[in-house]
Amino acid sequence: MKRHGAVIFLVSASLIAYQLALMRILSVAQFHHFAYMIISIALLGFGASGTFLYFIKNRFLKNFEAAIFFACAACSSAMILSIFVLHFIHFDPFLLIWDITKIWKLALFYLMIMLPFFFGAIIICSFFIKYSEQINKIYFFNLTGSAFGGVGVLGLLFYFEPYRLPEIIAVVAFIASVFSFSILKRKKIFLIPLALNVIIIFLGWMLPYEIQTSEYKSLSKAMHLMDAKIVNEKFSPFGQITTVASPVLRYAPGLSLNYTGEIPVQTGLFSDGEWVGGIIQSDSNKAADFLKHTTSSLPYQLAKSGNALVIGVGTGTEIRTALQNGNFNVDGVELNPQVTEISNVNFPKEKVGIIIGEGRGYLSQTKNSYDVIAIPILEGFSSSAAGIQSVFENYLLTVESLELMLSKLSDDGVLAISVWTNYPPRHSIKMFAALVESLEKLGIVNPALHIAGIRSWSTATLVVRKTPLASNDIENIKIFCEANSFDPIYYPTITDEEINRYNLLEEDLYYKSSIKILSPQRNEYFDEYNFNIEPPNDDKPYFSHFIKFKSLPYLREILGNESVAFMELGFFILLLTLLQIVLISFVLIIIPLFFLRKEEYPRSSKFATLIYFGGLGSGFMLIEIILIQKFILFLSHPIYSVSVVITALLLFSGIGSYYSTKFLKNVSKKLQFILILIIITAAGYSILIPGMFNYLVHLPVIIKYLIAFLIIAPIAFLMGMPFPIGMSLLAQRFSNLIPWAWGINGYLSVVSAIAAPLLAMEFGFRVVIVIASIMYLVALLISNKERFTF
Amino acid sequence: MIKLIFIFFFILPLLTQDKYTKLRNDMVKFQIEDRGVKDKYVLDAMRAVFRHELVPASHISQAYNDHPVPIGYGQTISQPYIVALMTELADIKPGMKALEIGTGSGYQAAVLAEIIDSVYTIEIIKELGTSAADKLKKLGYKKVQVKIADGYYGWKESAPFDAIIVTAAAEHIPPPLIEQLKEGGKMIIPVGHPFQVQNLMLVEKKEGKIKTKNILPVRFVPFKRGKE
Repeated sequence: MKRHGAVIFLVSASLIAYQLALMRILSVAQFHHFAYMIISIALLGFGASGTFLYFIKNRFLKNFEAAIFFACAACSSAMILSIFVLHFIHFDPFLLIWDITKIWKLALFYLMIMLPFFFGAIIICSFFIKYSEQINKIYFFNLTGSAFGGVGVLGLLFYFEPYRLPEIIAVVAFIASVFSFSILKRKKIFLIPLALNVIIIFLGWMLPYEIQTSEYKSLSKAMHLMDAKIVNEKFSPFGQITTVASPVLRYAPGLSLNYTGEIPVQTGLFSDGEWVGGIIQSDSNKAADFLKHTTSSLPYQLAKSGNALVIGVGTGTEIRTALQNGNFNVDGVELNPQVTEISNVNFPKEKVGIIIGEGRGYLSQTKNSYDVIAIPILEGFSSSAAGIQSVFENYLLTVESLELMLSKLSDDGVLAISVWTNYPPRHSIKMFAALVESLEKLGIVNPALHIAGIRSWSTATLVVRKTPLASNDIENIKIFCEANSFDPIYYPTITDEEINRYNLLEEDLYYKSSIKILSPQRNEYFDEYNFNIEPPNDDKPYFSHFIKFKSLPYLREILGNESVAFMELGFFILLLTLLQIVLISFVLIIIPLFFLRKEEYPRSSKFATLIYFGGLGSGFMLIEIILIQKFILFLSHPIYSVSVVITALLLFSGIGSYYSTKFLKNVSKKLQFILILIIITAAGYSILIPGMFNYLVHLPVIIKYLIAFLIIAPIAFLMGMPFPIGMSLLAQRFSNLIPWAWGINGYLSVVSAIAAPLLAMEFGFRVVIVIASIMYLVALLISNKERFTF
Repeated sequence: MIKLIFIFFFILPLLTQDKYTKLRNDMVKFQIEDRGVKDKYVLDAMRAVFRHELVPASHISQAYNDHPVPIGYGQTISQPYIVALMTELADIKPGMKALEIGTGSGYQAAVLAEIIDSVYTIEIIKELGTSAADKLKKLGYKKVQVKIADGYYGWKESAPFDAIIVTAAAEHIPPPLIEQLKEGGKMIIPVGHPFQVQNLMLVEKKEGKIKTKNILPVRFVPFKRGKE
C-alpha cells in the first residue's frame, strides 16, 4: 500500500497544483473570469473519470497495475501536451460574442485542459474500486496530497514564472509514474511509455510554450504604443506585475477640461496584464500639478494639512495628490509589496511612510488618527467598465469597514472615496449609500449634514466627516467645482440650480439618488432603482455586483444584450459556467443510469447513492468556498485565504478520513451522529466567525494563521469522514456503483464551487452555509432510511 | 473565351459590388435610420463608404453587421451606428475642417471625407496608420491627411478645427485638443468599454467655456427587419 499511497498522494498533489497554476496562467493570458470558466469546466474531468470507469471497470481492474501506470504517464504527459496544443489555438473569448463559429476553439480549450484531470481522477477512483476495504486510507492520501499540492504551488509561484509550472508539476506526476512502474511485474514493455513521458517533459522544459495572450488585454494594447517597452516584470502568487514605458503614455482620470497645463508622460502599471494606472516618474511638483485638477483633490479643499492615510498605494498617484494639495504626512498601505517595489516611487521619506499590509487589517490595529483617509479610484478604467470585479469580495468597501475608517478620523478628519461615473450611474450612488449607512451606524442622526460629493465628466469623489460640514467647507467645495467645471452631486444646502451645469446629463441621477438615499424612502428607492445599489456589508461584500434580475429586461431594451453582459461580465460568466456545468453533469450522471440494470440494483439504492454522494460533494464544496471567502477578511488576501483554507481543510479532512474506519461498526448511527455534528458546527461557524474575526483581526499574521488552522480543524476532521464511510458501505453491497458515486461527488463539487459565489452575491454568506447544512441534512436523512442499503 | 474573360473581369465585380451596395443600404436603413440618425449628409456618407474594403479580409463577411469588427492590434472598427451617431453629433457640414484621433481602419475618416474636404487623422499604431492611409488612397480619399503620431498633441499646424472626433475611449481629454477646438466647435468621444454599446460624450466650446454632455445611454432601438 505504501507505493500505492505514494502514487495517490503525488497524483492528487499534481492535480491541484496544475489547477492553480493554470488558473494563474490563464488569468494573465486571457481574462480572470474566462480563466475561472475554463478551469471549472476542466474539473469536470473528475466526474467524467467516474462515468468512464463505470463502463470499462472490469477491463481496467483486470490489468490494474498496468492501467494505473498508463494513466499516470498520460496524466503527466497531458499536462505539457495540453499547453502545447493550446499555444496554437488563437482563441479570444471576447470574439465569440460575434463569431459563434469559433465555439469549437472553446470546446478544444475545455477538452485539452480536462485531459490531465481526467487521467488523474481515473487513478484515484480506480484505487477506490480496487482497494475498497481501505477507502479511508486512499481518501487520506488523496486529501493530504491535495493539501500538499495546493501549498506547494503557491510556494513555487514565488520562484518560477507561471508558464514554467506545468513542466515542474508534470515531474511530480511523473514520479507517480515511476512508483507505479516499480509495482509492475513485467517492466520491459512499459519502458517505452515511461521514456516517452520523460521525453515530453524534457521537450516541454527545453521548448516552453505559452498560451497566447489576448490582444485585447491592456498590456497587449500598450505594447503597440510608440517605442513601448517592458521596464520591469515580477511574478508572485499575487499575480504578474508589469511596468511599461512609452513616450506617449499619459494618464489623468477625470481631469478637469479647464486644465491647460501639461500631463506628464508616465510609466504604465499592469497587474495580470490589466491596466492599474500611471506612475509619475518625475519628482517635481510641476509634473504632478494636474492632480490638483481632478476630483480626487476634493478632500484637500476641506483639510489643508495634517496626517493622511491612503489605502491602496498602487501607482502612488493618490499619495502625490495629498502632497500636492497641502502640508501632509502620508501613510500609504499597500498589500502587494511588489507593486511598491516595481513602481519605484521615490516619495520624500520624511513625509511618506509605506506600510505593507491590507487596509482593513491596518486600520483595526493602528492607534493613529488621520485628518484625511483616501481610497483611490476603484479598479482600472477598462476593467471597471467590463465588470471584472463583480464576483470578487471587497471587504474594504463594506459598511462595517467604512465605519472603522470613520472611527480612525480625527475630529475634523475627512474620509474620501473616488469612483468612476459609469453609465447608467451606479458606482458612486452605491458608495454614497454605503457612506450614509456607515455614518448612521456610528450614531450620527443626520448624515445629510456630514456628506458631500462632486463629479467630473468621468469620475466622482465623495467625502464625509464625523462632524457636520461647516459653511466654509461648502464654500470651498463650490469654489473648487467652479474653477474646474465640476458639478456637485450633493452637499448640505445644495439647490436644484447648482447641479448639472457643466457635465450635463439628461437627468442628474447622482443628485436625485443622494436626496432619495438621505430621505426616509431610501429602501423603496433601493428597490425601485434599476441596479443593485444597496450598501454592501461583510455578509455580502460585493460592492461591484450591480445586476438585478428583475431589471434585466429593461436594461436589455436600452442597452442591448452584449452591453448588459459586459456591464457585469464576471457575474454573467459565472452564470454561463454554471449553466454549462449543470448541462454536462446532467448528461453524464443521468445517461449512465440507463445502463444500470434494474435487477442488479434496486432503484432505491441508485437514488440513495445519487443523493448521498451528491449531497456530500455539494455540502463540502459550499463550506470550502464560503470559508475561503470569509477568511479573506481575517487573513487579508485571497491568496492567504485560499492557501490556509485549502491546506487546513484537506489536511484535517484527510486525518478524519483516516480515522473513519473506527466508525465502521454500528456505522449507521455513528454516521448520522457525524453528519449532525457537521451541521451544528457549520451553523456555529456562521454565527461565531464574524464576531471572532473582528476581535482577532489585529493579531500578527503568524498567530492568525494558527488560529485559522484551529478554527478549520474540527469541521474539516468531521467532513473527511462521511465520504469514505459511504464508499466503504457501497463497496460491501454494490461495488459497481463506486465510480458512479465518485462521478456524482465530482460533478456536484464543481457545480457548488460555481454556485457558491452566485448564491453569496444574491443572499449572503449565511444563506450559503444554511444551504450547505441542508445538503448534509439531505445526506443524513437518506442515510437514515432503511432502504438506503449501501 | 473572350466571353469568359468579360464575365470574369466585368460582370463578377459588378455582382459583388451590387451585393455590398444592398448590404450598405440595409445597414443605413435598419441599423442607422431606424435608430434615429437623420442627418442627410451622414446617411449619404454611410451609404457611400465601402466599409468592406476597410476591414481585414478575414472579416469581410461581417463588415456590414451591427457590431464592431476586430482589425488587429487589439483595436476594432466601430459599429456602423456609432460611427454615424458620432458624425451626426459632431455636426459635420460641408466646408468644415475636422480632426480625428485614432485612425484605426480609416472608416471614420472616409465617412468624414464624404462630407468635407479637410479631414486630418492621427494614428498612434504605425501598422494601422500605414494600412489605413494606403486603403484610403486606394478608395479615392486622397485629401485625407494621415499622420502617425501621438494624438495627445493634436495637429497644431492645421488647428483650429470645427470638429474633433476621438474614436478610442478615453479617460482624459488632452488639453491641446481642447485648445485646438474652434470657438463653437464640437468634440465627440466614446466613453466606456469598446465591446459594449458605448456612451458618447459631446464636448462643446462656447464663449471660452467647456461643457460636456453625456449622450446616454446610446439608445438601442430593437433591431427591425422585414419592413422593406
